[in-house]
Amino acid sequence: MVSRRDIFKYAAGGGVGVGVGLLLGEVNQRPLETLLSTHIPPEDFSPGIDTWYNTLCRMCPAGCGISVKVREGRAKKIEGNASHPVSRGGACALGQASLNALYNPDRLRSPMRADGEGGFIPASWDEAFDELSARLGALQAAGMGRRVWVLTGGALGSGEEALSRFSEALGANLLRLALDTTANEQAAAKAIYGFEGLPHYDIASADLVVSFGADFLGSWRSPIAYAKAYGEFRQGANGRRGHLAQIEPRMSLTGANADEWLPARPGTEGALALALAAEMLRRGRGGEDVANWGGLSGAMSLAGAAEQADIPLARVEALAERLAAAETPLVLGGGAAGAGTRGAAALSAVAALNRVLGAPGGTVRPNLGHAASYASVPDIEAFASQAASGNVSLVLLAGVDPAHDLPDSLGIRRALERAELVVSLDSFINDSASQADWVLATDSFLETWGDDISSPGAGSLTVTLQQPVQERLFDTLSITDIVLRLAARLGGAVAQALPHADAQAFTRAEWARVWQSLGLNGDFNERFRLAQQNGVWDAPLAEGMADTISPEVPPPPAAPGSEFAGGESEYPFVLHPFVTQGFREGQGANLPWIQELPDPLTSVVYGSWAEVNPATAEQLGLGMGDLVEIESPAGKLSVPVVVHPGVRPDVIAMPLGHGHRGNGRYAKGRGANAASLLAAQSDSATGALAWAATRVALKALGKRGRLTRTGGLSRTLGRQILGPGGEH
Amino acid sequence: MSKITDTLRQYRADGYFAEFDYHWTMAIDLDQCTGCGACVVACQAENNLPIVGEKRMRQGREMKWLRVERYWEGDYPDARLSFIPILCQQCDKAPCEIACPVFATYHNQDGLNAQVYNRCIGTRTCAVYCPYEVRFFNWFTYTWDEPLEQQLNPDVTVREKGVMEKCTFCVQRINRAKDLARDEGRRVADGEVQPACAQSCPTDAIVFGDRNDTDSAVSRKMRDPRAYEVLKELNTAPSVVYLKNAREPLHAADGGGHHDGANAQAAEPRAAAAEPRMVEAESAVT
Repeated sequence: MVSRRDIFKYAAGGGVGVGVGLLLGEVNQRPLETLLSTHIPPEDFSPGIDTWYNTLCRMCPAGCGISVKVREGRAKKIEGNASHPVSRGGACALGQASLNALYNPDRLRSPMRADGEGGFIPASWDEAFDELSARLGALQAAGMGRRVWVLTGGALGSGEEALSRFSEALGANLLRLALDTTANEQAAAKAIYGFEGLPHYDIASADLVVSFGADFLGSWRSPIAYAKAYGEFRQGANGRRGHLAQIEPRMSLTGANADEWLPARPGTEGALALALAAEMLRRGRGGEDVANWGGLSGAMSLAGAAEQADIPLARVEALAERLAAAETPLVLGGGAAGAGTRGAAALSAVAALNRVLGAPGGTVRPNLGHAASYASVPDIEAFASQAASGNVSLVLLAGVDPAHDLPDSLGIRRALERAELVVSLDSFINDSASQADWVLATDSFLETWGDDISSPGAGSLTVTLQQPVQERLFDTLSITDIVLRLAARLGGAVAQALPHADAQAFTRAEWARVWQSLGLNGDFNERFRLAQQNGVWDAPLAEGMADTISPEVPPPPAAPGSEFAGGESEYPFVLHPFVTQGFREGQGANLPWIQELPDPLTSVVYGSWAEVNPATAEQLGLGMGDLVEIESPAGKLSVPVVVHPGVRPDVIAMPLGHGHRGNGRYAKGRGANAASLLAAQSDSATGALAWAATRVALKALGKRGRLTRTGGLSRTLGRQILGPGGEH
Repeated sequence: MSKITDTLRQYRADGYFAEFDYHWTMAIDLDQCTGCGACVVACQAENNLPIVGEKRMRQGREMKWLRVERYWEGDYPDARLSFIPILCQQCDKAPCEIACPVFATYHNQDGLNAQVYNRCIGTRTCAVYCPYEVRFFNWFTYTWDEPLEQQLNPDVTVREKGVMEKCTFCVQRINRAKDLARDEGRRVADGEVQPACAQSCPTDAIVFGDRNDTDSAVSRKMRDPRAYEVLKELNTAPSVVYLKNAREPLHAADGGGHHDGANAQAAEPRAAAAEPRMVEAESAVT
């Protein structure tokens, strides 16, 4: 019987050893040899036989379980884990393309230190740890832990727990960063449903879904779980076909699949939702829990809201009719609709509509009692101002690229310039890492241990175990490994908080701790082995873990429209940045499969674009592929246009995630970064970044841009490709 | 050679395609397909499709055995976009098969339209004959930037310059399942084998199976009144069946109906007109 670890040893000692030797410059040395004969391979290392490992996808915060096909010690293909409650066998383009990150030619193969001339030179882990622990130790000894800032993402796994404990013991600051955070949705859930955390939406059992800007089939929250539910919603076993209405200024992937697409004026979604809620109350849809809401005094009339949203009243009335008649309606809100300066209020209005329709407890259910909490704009600005006044000694970038993903107007790029020492833990020299003094090469998530709690999840406690599916390709460590080794070197309180040897030991210890704290019986070792096999630990929520829907809540206040940065005369268009499934906020740009995957709506590959309505294009004399300059109060860029009828004439839409200054050959210099146009606007209630509240001006540059599109005609021209009958 | 022509004649005789050992068929429900592209990446990963690069993309040399086509209807604000995944239709009366001078493409015992790479001499006739534009010619020997080649699937051949390639219904998976079933003395069970695209589909829009088994999921899908074949009038007898999107026709909701079927050409809107001809010319795939 050969254990998993032996197999990895075998892999390292065999063919892989040769490669590693070469990489370390030991060309003249004889490669490590092994006496193990390949004629008697370990049981799951047989040439020609697939081995499948269940693990966790870390490309976005959804927490999907995946199954990875491994052949001869190398990951070959990623598929959804069929027994995982979130992914249920599905896998998105980005998750599958994460193999491109593992085998990326520009992936860092060892720690790198800045050479002082804008480049990087390879270094050893000992050098890196020596310098880092000396700097951290000096700061700690001087009681200046507050001068250390740890910047990370928003996952809920044990790796993040290690970072938190590390920061806490050091007295450092921790910022959880993302462009599109869950803060406004959590605030709305707290205000209207009375529970903490993100709601679980049951799309599959809804007969009507009305979505205010939530691109749940493309990029919003948990796209695979929602897509699985959508498949049932459309052609499920119950024999009923659900109706989908999408309200958004630019057609998202979800809007393209909707039965009706209502292009509302940006920033008016909240008022429209509240007006619909008042209309439902008038029609007697509300139950006892909203008896004290009266007529919703803050709400506009349906006609007023329709006019403000610039949607024909007849269509809004038809929608109200459908809502009133629906048996199990569900209203969703998210994306740009929840990212204005009144985003939390808009999402509260959406939640209020759900409440009036009686969705809570049915299609809207409480989930885990906690979700990631992100840094607000004031938090980020505090970091920037500390850096500006020279009070930031060390910045640890733990797998995030804020210099690209977040707007320049927040001042993160300048803060990184001012900080004394910047250390990036990443697999690539991305935009932020290029400003660092050290870049510590990290593992792919397929090479190390960890876990994540799926959020929003599937209505149960879903903890997915992440385990290595293959031996490390290069001289890398995981973020957790780096933190643990630093802690050991620092000693004292930090080492006490994190006494574990490596990510594997830490992950296991965390699971054991949770196992104990939940008071679960049985053999933990056996349970952990099962989790390794299944990739997931799925349990009904224990007592107190899920909040309950509060029986009575105060009515939501009026939802005033969003305020936009930039005057309407100077900046006539509203910028609508959108997240795509492949690129997200920048995570997919260095993956060639994603660069070569045509964008679902525009079929653009390799580069970014701005979407313009045909009427606007005609007015400005623009054709497909013409180059324009887009200017906002915060910045400007040039980009080719795509003309299509799925965007409002007063809106310019741009995908996020493009326009990297670094990040490897596939990402670098391709397209323009829409985030650089965004003003530092924040939500008036939560302080979350209002990333859809900037106006822009558009200027034709009189030349063609570099726009590459696949596919042929955009119309079927009567060929009945989409089926017999009709105009298809 | 005569054996090949005889076999081919036999395969092409009327009614033969009802007698395949297995009759592998795919049903794609367009009411469930969201156009997300997960299947496109799954296919690329499984079948060692090259990364052609931006320059080749601009030249129209996209190499995707499975692509999602998109079609617009109507004008703003009553615009609608529809998606349809297009892959080799594995036609039982395949126009490409009669074209090949060296029988590099032929019909196999399972109704698959197979391509023998080392028999192909690259005349590209098959691609010209194919009405679905799903055959791709290797004008170059593509390489992978090291170490991306370590991802390559060892079960699938890497093609070289001068060879035509296309979707195989993941024949390597089919063969594996058939081998296993034969070893165990049974037939391949329904759902036992799935091509990469069907496996990855997040909405379960793609169903794959044996049409000879009337109880299989794909046979049930084929009996749906929404089922149709693309370019049916060409009489190619495709093995890919689509289920029409069940959305109400555009404008039915508001009673507008200002451009119905008869006016499809007249309603051809600005967006298409605004597209330069060049972009369309670039898209010739072979």
